[in-house]
Amino acid sequence: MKNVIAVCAIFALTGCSTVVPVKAKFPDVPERLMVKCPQLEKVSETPTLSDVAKTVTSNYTTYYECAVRHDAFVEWYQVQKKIYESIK
Amino acid sequence: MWLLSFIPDFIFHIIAIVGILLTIGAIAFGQIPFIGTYNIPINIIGVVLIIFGFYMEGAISNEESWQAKVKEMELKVAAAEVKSSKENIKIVEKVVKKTEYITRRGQDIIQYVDKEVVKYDTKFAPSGQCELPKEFIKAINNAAEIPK
Repeated sequence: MKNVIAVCAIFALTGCSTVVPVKAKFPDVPERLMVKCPQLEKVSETPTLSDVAKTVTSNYTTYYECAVRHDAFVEWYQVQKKIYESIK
Repeated sequence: MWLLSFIPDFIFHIIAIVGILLTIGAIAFGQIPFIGTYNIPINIIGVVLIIFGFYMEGAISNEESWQAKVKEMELKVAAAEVKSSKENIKIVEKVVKKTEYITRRGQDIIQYVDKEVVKYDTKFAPSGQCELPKEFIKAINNAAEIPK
């Protein structure tokens, strides 16, 4: 009788072994957004006024280029998170 | 369920049907002398086959519903992947556009400096009329340093 119960239990428990093999993978960040922000430029020891203006301009440009990538990364993460969560 | 992966479904249908037929047969023909001798074992086999057959019918139904869920999930994942890559393209295009604009604007300003600000270089040159103080240069360079 015990053997019959054991066999029945094995059959019954195998019914619980079903798993959903589909998994959603969180996407990779686009290469374009993974670029590190460059170092800011410095002016020379004895600069002319135009050198200072150019360095400041270049640094502002560098900042805004980096800010665009950062903002895009934040947007990318929020959008992808929303898509990823909609699957569940 | 592992049994369903290598035994076709119709085998379990047949087992259930055979179980029902054996049980009915054992009840119906139990009084006939020759068959009546085997009545109890046939009945037991019939009931066991019914139990196993019906259990497996349930498992088949469960398996089908899981497979349907898997397919639904696969479709959802595929749709999400398409949407995700579309969004990626949109975001990267926006970055490229904005970066191009910023770079161009920086170049335009540098051209303006070369054209207009350069006129004041001699006035602000070292030992010139309005020499740029070293403190001013130091402040700009300190601000440009990477924070440690």
